[in-house]
Amino acid sequence: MTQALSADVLVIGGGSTGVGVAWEATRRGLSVILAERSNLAGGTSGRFHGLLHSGGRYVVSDPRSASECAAENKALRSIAPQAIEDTGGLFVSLEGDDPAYAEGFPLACERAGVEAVAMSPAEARSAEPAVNPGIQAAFWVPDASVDVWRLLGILSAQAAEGGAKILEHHEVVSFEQEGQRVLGARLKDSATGETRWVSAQVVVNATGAWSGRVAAMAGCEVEILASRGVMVAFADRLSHLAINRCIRPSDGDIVVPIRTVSVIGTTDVAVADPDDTTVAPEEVAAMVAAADQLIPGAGSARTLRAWAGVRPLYRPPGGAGSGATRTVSRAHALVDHATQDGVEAFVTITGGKLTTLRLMAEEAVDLVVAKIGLPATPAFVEALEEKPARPAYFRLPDALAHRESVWGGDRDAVVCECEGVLRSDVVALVAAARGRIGIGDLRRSLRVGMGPCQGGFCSYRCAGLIAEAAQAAEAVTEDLVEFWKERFKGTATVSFGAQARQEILDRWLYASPLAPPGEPVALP
Amino acid sequence: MNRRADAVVVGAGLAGSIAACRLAQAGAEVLLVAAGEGSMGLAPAWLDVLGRMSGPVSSPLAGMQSLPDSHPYARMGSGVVQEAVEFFSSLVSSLDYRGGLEDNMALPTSLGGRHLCAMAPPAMAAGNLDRAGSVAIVGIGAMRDFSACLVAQNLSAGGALSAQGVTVDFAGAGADLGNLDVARRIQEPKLRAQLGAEVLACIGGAERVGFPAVLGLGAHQEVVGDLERILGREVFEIATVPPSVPGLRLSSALAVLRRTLGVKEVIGARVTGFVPGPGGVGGLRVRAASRSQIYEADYFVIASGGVLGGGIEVGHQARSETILGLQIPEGPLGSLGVAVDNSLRPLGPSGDPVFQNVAFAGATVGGADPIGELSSQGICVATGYLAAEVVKAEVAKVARAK
Ligand SMILES: Cc1cc2nc3c(=O)[nH]c(=O)nc-3n(C[C@H](O)[C@H](O)[C@H](O)COP(=O)(O)OP(=O)(O)OC[C@H]3O[C@@H](n4cnc5c(N)ncnc54)[C@H](O)[C@@H]3O)c2cc1C
Ligand SMILES: Cc1cc2nc3c(=O)[nH]c(=O)nc-3n(C[C@H](O)[C@H](O)[C@H](O)COP(=O)(O)OP(=O)(O)OC[C@H]3O[C@@H](n4cnc5c(N)ncnc54)[C@H](O)[C@@H]3O)c2cc1C
Repeated sequence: MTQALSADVLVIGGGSTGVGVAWEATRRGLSVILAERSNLAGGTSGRFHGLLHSGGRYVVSDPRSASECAAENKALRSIAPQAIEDTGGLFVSLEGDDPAYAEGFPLACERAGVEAVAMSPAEARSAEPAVNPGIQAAFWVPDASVDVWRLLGILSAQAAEGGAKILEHHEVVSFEQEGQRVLGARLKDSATGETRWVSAQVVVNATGAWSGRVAAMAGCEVEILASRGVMVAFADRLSHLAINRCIRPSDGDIVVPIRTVSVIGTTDVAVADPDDTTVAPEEVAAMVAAADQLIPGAGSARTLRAWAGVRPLYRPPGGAGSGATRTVSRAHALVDHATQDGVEAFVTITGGKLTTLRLMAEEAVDLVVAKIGLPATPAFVEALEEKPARPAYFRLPDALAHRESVWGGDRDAVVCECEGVLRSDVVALVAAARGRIGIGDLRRSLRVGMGPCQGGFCSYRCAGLIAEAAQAAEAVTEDLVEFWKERFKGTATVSFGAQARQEILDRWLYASPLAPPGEPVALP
Repeated sequence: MNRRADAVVVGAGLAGSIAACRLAQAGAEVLLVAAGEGSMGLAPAWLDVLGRMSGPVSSPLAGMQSLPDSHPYARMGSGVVQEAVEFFSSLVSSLDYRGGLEDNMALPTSLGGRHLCAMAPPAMAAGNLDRAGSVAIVGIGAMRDFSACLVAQNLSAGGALSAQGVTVDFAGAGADLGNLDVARRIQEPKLRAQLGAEVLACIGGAERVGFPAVLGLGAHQEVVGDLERILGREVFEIATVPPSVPGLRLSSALAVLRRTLGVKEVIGARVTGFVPGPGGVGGLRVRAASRSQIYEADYFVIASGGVLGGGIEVGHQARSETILGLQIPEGPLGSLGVAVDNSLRPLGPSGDPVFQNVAFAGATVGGADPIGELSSQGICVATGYLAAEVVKAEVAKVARAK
């Protein structure tokens, strides 16, 4: 067993919630250890829809969530503008949609504090030419899209600067308890198989859809309704604004433009196992059809990948019966297990949205601080004033201008044509990680492998650069093959038309000029 | 105005080219129509016949005997496959293919894997991994699609031979080179002399020297000859990701042969459907630019390249063949193909031929798992050849009747 660690707070889970808590706690002067069983955003946060909600989606069904989203939308924009593209969004009502919903929408927005500007159908069409021309009513809202890996990268880097220890690939496998008090937890390092103890004054369970399982390890109860949602990415950016259908939340009601792609989502199906992220072909077909209603032509656009994420919907003890998952609140829950289960020094923060991560973190850290017995310190919002007011959102043209200025034809090489990634970008990351980096890490940081070829060409180039920098070819090759398999998992249900041809091309690449030593690559 | 020929061949890939050349050699008037150049320029130019079944296959000829009856090789019999491969070798004799159907050779991949194939052009065959001795693997600094380090380390780890990776600069060539950039530049004698000198300085005592397969297009033999002279040892080429320079050499050799043998061709035109006729198909509807025409013939060979080449469309609901609208039997994406009989005629759901005067060839033919078996090129050559044999016989019958 390697040496024991100790900190004021142990945060379990490296999704948006856990990283938010680690960041907030560090800002308030606490020492923090964060343990994530896979990599940051390796759970639901890395499989979400990508929308920084304006709140409009929930103004009628869940006004509290709507208000929180509206406020947190503003907060996240100033915390991490570099991870946000300020796309703006539309709510549109189509022919046949309940007109009463659209009529009540402005008032509901006003009550919830969600900014919404009514537009005529003609104005909406000129703001977003891709939208269904048959729209009946339209509202502009401050939606934006979020690059989650960049967002969590920024927050965790700031936390690490403040002394937090971020342990990826460390799973919490048990708790140490003394009487009714949690003293710490035992972590298992998935790389080495070794375990280590972490003792902490307070342990925060931020494991999303897994928080019921983690709480149970400490003898506590957290009831999570795991609700799976499917999303489909198109190979092109189909619109520049996020487009929401102005109806009660339902399947396939939002299209979000994220960098070079557009994503339609989502569904809502209760699942027993939070690790169940299967995607059914019918769900893909339904999503593509729904996208075609919002953006005519989307139905024949090239689909790139399909994936699913599992929402952690929290049900309070003795709460409403097992209704449809859509009607369960999207609001977050903070559970003090001392009052609920009589277990001290252990809290769970779950539910909510990625958009509300800061608020969730604030409330959780308030409770942690109270438990440790420190005087209450101001939360982040006050500190906002010191920040420069002008956010620098990321914009695609800026990214291209950067590429052009560096590349310039003969100063650098393009490693990933789909996403415009340069050799110098990869080399810099590999050097910063002292070679201890995988192709999956490069994907999360640079988006290599996320464009139309799904890594067919760039992954080998990245592997070459990693091997040259440091690692043994054998390990790099193994990582490369795993990366290919992982990418293929998301494409199986969307292999139609041009993407089917791409899949055959990629299959040939891995079987022929890029065949690894030993057994052939077993693709799904 | 309609066009007419003895036979119309659809597709300018390996299968269509073999069929067209064979027919033209036999004196038939052949019209070849293709939307594009096909995928030869993407694939390595080794000739795979059968590389894997449940494990590696050491002899394609022996392995073929245990294929299921519906496999194209089983349908035509290994004798025809052998004839077809011999025809291929003699047709592209200028490329001097080495090897045969008795034994597979193991050639290196860009990831240091062992690729089993029946035949290969000399510069690729020289990379045979079953030959003992030490090799140096040369990477070119600015070339993004080849990592000498990965190839060499993985080859050495295999234990059979010792490989050392070196990376050299290609003088003044810029920082971003694709396969074709290098292939063109290296045809410049001065530049390859410089490159050769740089390589010589760092390869020590290696007995053979492997380069990515970019050693020239038209001037390939001169490039290899010069490098071998400068380095004083054997030089070989390692297959790369597309564009494949050896594949382009094969593709242009076959294009020249088609023309020399008198095949009339229209490239850049798409077949959008057919008109019925006595044997089933009377003519093909061809669209070039804004013009539509019917190409009539007694016999048709469809070598439209499967899913990759555009011969099979994978839709949300169904998978269909794009020219005659045939339904494709269910199966994994990599094995989709038209069901055919022993004369390569397409079969309907009842198992009977639906068109009498059509033969399918190449990757559109079903019954195989070409990626898993590493058999696509062999199937292209064999079915292209057989389709021509079937048509030759039919055309002769028609001529006699006239
Ligand atoms: C389909 C779908 C679409 C969505 N779209 C949006 C959207 O557009 N906008 C928005 O704001 N929100 C959206 N959400 C909601 C949002 O994604 C989630 O609320 C948020 O990502 C949850 O983050 P989390 O950190 O709580 O959970 P997670 O991201 O799941 O993080 C929990 C982490 O805990 C780790 N873990 C589990 N067990 C252990 C253990 N024993 N030890 C260590 N680590 C462990 C997991 O690996 C995981 O990384 C969407 C959700 C879904 C399902
Ligand atoms: C990267 C890569 C590596 C490969 N490696 C290997 C390997 O190691 N071993 C192996 O055996 N195979 C390999 N292959 C596969 C092999 O190259 C192909 O399966 C084979 O070349 C197919 O040849 P074909 O003649 O059937 O079709 P293609 O070469 O695809 O040609 C099809 C032709 O039909 C034309 N066409 C299609 N539809 C129409 C239409 N409606 N109207 C007019 N024209 C039409 C196209 O324009 C084209 O000219 C590889 C492929 C790739 C991409």
